[in-house]
Amino acid sequence: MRVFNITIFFCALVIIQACTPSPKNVRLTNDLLVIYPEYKDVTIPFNVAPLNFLIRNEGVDAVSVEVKGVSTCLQINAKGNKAVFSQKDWTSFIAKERGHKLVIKVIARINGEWLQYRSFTWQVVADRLDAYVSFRLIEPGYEVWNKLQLRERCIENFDERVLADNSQTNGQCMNCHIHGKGNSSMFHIRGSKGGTLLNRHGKLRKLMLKTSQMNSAAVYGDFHPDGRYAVFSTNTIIPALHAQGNHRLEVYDTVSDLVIADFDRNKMITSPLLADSLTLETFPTFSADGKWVFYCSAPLVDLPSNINELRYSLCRVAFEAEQQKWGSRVDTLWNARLMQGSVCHPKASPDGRYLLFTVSRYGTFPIWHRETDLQLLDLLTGKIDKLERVNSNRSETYHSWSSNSRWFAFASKRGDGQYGRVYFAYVDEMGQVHKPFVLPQKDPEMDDLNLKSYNIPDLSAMPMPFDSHDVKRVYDEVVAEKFK
Amino acid sequence: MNKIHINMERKITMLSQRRWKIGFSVILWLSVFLFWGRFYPSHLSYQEQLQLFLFDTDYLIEHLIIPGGLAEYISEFLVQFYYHRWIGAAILATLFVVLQLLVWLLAQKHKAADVYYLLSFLPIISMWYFMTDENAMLAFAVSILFALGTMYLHVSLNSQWRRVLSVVLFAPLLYWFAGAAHFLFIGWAIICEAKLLYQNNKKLAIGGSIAALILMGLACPLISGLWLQYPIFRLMGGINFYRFPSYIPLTVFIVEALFLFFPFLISSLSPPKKNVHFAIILQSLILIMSGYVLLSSGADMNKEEAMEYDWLVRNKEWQKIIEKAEAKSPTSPFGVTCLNLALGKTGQLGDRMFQFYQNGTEGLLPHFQRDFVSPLPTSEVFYYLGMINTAQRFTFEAMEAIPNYNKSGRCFKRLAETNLINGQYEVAAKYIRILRKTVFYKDWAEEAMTYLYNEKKISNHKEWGWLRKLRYADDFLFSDREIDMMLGLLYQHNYQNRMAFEYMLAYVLQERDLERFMKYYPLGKYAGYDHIPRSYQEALVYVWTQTHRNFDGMPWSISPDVAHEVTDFARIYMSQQNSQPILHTQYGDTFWYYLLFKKK
Repeated sequence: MRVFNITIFFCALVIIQACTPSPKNVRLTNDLLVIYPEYKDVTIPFNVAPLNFLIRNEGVDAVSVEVKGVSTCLQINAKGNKAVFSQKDWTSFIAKERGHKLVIKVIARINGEWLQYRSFTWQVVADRLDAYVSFRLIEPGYEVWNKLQLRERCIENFDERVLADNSQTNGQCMNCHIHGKGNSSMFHIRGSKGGTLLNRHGKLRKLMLKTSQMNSAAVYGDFHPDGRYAVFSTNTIIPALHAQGNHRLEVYDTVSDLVIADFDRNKMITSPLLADSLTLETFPTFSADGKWVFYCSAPLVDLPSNINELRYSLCRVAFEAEQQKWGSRVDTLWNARLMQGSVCHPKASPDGRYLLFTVSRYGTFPIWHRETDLQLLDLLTGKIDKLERVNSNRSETYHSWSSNSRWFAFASKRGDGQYGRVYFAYVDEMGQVHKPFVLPQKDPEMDDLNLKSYNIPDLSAMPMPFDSHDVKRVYDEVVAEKFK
Repeated sequence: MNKIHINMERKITMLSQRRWKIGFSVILWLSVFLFWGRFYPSHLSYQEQLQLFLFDTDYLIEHLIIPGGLAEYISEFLVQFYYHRWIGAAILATLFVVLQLLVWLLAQKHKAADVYYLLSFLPIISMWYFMTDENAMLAFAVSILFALGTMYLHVSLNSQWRRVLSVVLFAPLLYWFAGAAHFLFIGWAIICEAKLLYQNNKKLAIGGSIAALILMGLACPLISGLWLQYPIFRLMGGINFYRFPSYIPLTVFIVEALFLFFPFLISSLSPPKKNVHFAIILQSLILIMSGYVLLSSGADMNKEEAMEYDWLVRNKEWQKIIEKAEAKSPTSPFGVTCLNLALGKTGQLGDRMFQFYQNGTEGLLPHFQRDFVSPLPTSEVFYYLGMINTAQRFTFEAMEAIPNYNKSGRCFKRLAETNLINGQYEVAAKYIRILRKTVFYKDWAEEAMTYLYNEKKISNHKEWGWLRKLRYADDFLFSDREIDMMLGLLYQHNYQNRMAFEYMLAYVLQERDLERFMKYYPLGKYAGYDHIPRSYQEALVYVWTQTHRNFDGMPWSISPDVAHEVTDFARIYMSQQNSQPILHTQYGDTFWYYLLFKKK
């Protein structure tokens, strides 16, 4: 019996060995190695999931990949064109390689010949990237939505869970999930039983963030650092469709103002300065110390005929939390008229040093403007970095900061121009921003087959303390709290 | 010798009994086959275009992780063959006959008399009725098949413990593979066990067994509801039996009940001592009557007609559309849109549109509706006009609106085309790569792959190259409230786009906006007509007669027939108090009649 078992064991070994191709008579080639995702020479955190990738050179039927670090080496040989690392091996390997540069050697078999391509590198940095990213998964459609989910993915591995699912909330539209300091977060669910779902101190509340003075319910928003307040825009939103070429959808506001919601007293704090009918104000966000509200502002033009003239400046206005009062003066930080562009989505880094925002040619819907780029304003020096290593020729939008201000996540359509994916970029101590990498997938082909866009990736250090069942319960059973 | 003779006679009797049963099952097969293949084929195409079966591991896994997913996977595998409608009809006929045979085998296990064989057809007729609903999913029939198979396995087990074990094992498995059809199996087990316990005089155990089995049945959906994102009513009633997730029709439960009770009902009937033939004839009559009543009430031939038009549009069968309309003019905006497109594609819109029923601009370019059906023919019209972005939008939105979140092979193909035409190759490649994983779109996808990044090849493509030339040159925000202007801009961009011109004029004529008609009409000089199309002549002559007493000096070459007819029309209109019926008979196919009598 023992002999039999040993024979079986060796036979299995032989079969496995026979099935796993290993390179022989390797020839060096100058051909370009085409991989997806484009992971060549990127900077990655030590706590990231395996960077699995596809080799897209024509005719690849086996691969051998060696990731060489300072202390050790990771090796895979596989049939097909996928380089997929074991989670366990990867985690222990990369943890030892903090601060090191990894060299990746790729050998691929094409028509029976093993070719070795030029190696590339991965710089592993010791600054942690927040371990969780939440996003909305949605078809990049026009006006119709069907299945919507807010999901949370662990960046350190491939675990993903559903935070909210519109099939459990009468199919209603739900907006993206954003979070503030201390693991508080919120998102809106539309419809008669909807409201803003606020997660604060581990408790879910449903709020009706609309008063008779507001032109709409709260739309784009951000938390004050102490979590008691959040600033919102109220927008009358009009969708429109482009007729030609690769242009798709345009969305613009005909009215938009700003308000601050006090979650302790269920009260809206308004200012006539930010409710001017001749000026559009939108995308507000608090500074890291909570003393300023950054936002985008544009003079109202005749719409839709002059949509090309609708350009938003980056402004700021003070907020005194103790007195619950808006400031009385608006500062313009980036003048749209002079810069001939339009700013959207400003986001301050948690350390207060930077403000990251998008710039497009015009309008307030940069996601479908392929010229949209991210720019980084150093609030200390006033210098603007155009982030050439980060941006692509497609839209880069909807960014969020990691809690240590060393990383930011953003959505980019650089893959195919239509389906947004989550990218992460590193900001080093000198303020230099490194080449970003896309959220790794267990199966690197998944981005090809996935027909959903990742909307508004939002980083958080901790997992959210709720799931879709809690959202369903609150949606069904809780009456929305009113605001004055 | 005598013994051998008796055995022979018995065998012959058995054989003839088997033969008549086989004969009736064959009749059932043929009836189902002919019904779907001949009378209701467009419902099959409709089903096929609302799914996209992929030969892909992830696609299989996506299905296997939900209750009823395997049945759905198998059904989608089968439905992909509906691409060829007669194959679809054969698949349905075979599935129905297998279901019928299983019902009969179950009845036989309870000692049903052969003479009642035909009663085993009745649950099938109820299933047939259900499947005439365009939103009924084949997954329901496959799930019932799974359940009947499991019931047969259960009843074949002799030992009570084996049967108990089979319920414990099979009920959750069945729930996972076939969804809520496991209740059928639970119901079956309850009746079988209660019957046995009653026969064995263990009446006290009956209550306990029933309670345990019911709990078992309920536990499966309730437990899975702890981690699945589905409302409990769907887990209980079937996730994938009906296209609309928020609704499970009562018919589902009635059909399930018939499949459950009929084997028992058939077996409970005593064989007739005489008049066996009468019993069979009576059953046949019941079958025919119930079949007729159910199918005639279930089958919606108006929808079938609309789907047929859509199918013909999808297959670019313009001439067949016109022939179909000549036999019976469509009246729904859906059908009229298809007909007008066929007229436009064959250059007959200006000449013949009023020969058919017109229901205003909603029959030309209907407004966008947030559903998964009506935007499709409209997207075809925009596509052939050269409004590629709008066609893409309508297609994309239609697919996104499919209630059960399915993708659509037809929509994928069109989206790949619009992106190829627009030069959005990465997006086109995404759709094409997925279509390569299918059976019926694979060849097309392989061919389309060769067009990626190949500007010259696309420009030389008969359809895509032509449509590229028609597209707008400048970008602007599309306005669906100014469709005539959008069409005008399109035509002005390329005067070869005669279809855009005809749609523009058709649009204003159907709006009864003669002022705009007169404004746009002169642009037709660039379109290369060899005659003024009939409906334009009718409009022109009408406008002329509003300000002139005769045709002298009329600047257009109006045919003598039209001049004569408008005079006659005017005479009847002016002289008869109730002129509409007369004019309808004589001039119902003219613009004048449309203008003066058709309701807005």
